[in-house]
Amino acid sequence: MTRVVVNSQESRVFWGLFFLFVFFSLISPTFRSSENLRNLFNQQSILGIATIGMSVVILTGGIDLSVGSIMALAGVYYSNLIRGYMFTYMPPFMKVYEEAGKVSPVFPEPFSLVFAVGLVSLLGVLTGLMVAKLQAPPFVVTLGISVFARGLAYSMTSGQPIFSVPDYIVNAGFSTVAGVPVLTVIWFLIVVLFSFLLKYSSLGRNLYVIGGNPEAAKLTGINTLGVTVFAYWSSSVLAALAGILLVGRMASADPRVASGTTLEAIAAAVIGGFSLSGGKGNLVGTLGGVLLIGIIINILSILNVEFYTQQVIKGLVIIGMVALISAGERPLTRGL
Amino acid sequence: MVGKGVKVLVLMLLLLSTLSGIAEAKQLKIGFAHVALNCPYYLAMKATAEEKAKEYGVELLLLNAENEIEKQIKDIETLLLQGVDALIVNPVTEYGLRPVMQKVKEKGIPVVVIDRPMYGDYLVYVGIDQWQAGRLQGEFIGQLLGGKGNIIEIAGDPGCPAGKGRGGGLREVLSEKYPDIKILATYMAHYNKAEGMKAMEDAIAAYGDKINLVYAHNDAMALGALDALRAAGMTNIPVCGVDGQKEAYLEIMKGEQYKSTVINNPSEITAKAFDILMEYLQTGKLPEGVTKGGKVITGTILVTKENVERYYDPNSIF
Repeated sequence: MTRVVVNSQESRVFWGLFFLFVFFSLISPTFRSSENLRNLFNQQSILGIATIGMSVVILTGGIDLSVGSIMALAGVYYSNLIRGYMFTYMPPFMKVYEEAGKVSPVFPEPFSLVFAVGLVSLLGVLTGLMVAKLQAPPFVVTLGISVFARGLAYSMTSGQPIFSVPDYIVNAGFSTVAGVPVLTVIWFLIVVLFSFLLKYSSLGRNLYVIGGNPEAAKLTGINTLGVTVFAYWSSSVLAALAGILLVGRMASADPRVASGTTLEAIAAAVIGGFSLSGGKGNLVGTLGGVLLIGIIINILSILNVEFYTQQVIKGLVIIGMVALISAGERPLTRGL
Repeated sequence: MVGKGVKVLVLMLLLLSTLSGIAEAKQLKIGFAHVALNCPYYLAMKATAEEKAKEYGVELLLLNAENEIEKQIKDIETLLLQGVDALIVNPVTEYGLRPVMQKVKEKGIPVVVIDRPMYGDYLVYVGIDQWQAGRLQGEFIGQLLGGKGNIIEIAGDPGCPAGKGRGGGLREVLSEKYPDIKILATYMAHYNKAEGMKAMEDAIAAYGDKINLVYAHNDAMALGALDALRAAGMTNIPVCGVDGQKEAYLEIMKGEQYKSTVINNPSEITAKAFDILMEYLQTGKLPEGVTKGGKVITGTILVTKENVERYYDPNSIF
């Protein structure tokens, strides 16, 4: 049984997280309250889920700039789907508030969720195919998908940005099970699932090889096409799921959401130990990365720091972490 | 040596945290979940809120969501955690806060919504009557054009409630009384001056001489359109906006192209909201004639060359 060595970056992230946690707990009683911690985990779960997908793509040496837009599109499409609009480009606008909570889905539940995620994630399949077969640069392809998906999300709401959804989806966004937020449970389960995949399956190993050593991947006959498509498909599946869960947080679908999520997911993945050149990273690290970003903004809000100053500090933290990571890396033995 | 230093540091921090905990106890806390701070309109709200907080001797906790609904949900959760006694909200979207507002309601915290409308449980909404603003401009434009002409409309965001009112009210008046006035096209410029200018340039390229008047949903975009018109040498095309921004007042006073605007004063709105909230906290009552969940309308006055001097204040933030 292969034993995965914990990358030093993951331990760095968790030590950093630990010290910051202790420090913030000392200076703010509000911060260390169980309600705040529960809020923090709940709030970061959606980013966390999206980051897992992003990390898998980064592992292959690629990038997925469409995460935020797919989140928005999936949320909007799901809202349309539960009203029966499976393939309607511009469904008629509804007076939503009056129907809030009274919407009963046209299709029975697991179907709507699965179908919405499945359909939207076809965009990920397309990306994977283009990257693998056409050698298209992931940056540009996913950028194009991002613009497309965002535009589609706006179109599907007939210019009216908001819809409402049934209560059970909202409950996912705000309730807890045994004191742990439901969203966090989902997030952790997905981390475990994908970690197992990366550690113990040949698919997982191949993901590392394709990113870390593309020539070797070709030479050893790895199914580059299949693995790449899987990576981008996973990213869009998780982004779609995250988008639908976000709809629960707002009890409505909105094509405007998640505009900053893509970059945040990239930052979290890198802080968590994933190298942008591929082939390196451990999903447990992304837990740390996502929480680190969340904790900083959380304490700054509690301390009533100006929003723009919060952004400055957040940027400094990201720069600082990247500097630490780069300083700690051994020089690359292969050419870029 | 280091160990001793660390222990001292930890003790100091613990002391600090307990002290700050004690200091926090007495004052009333008013939370303000703000939509953005990226233009004078929103900045004026912040400044007024700070003034009012000082006036009443309460603590103001203002958090800025910078146009992201997810951040605003987090902001409200944080404000709840910090034990605010009341909440002012300028929501990023109308529907996105419903679930978190449920949490606010469960804690029994009174909420006043300002400027942008919101669906959810709240005490009162304070803002202008957007539809009436549109109607006022519709009347003014109808008379100005003598009942006939072509308008270019520059709106903010698709589906935005202010836009629905400012555009809808205009159209209502036009269809009622001035059927020969046509809206050639509607451009989106996100309430932003630079985008307003670009939209106007596009309109000029598309319609040129056919344009008889430009109506923008806010003064910032109108001022941008003004720049574009001047650059194109179209200096006799009237421009109308909404909001009552002081730069707009200056233009109106010049008596040239910029003809009118409608007051939508952020300071007035914020001050009123604060007053209502404080009165409710102190007496449990709402002002005369206002019911729970109802609206308090401010401003919504048409400003033209005739009355602009009354409203112009060079020292105002907005």
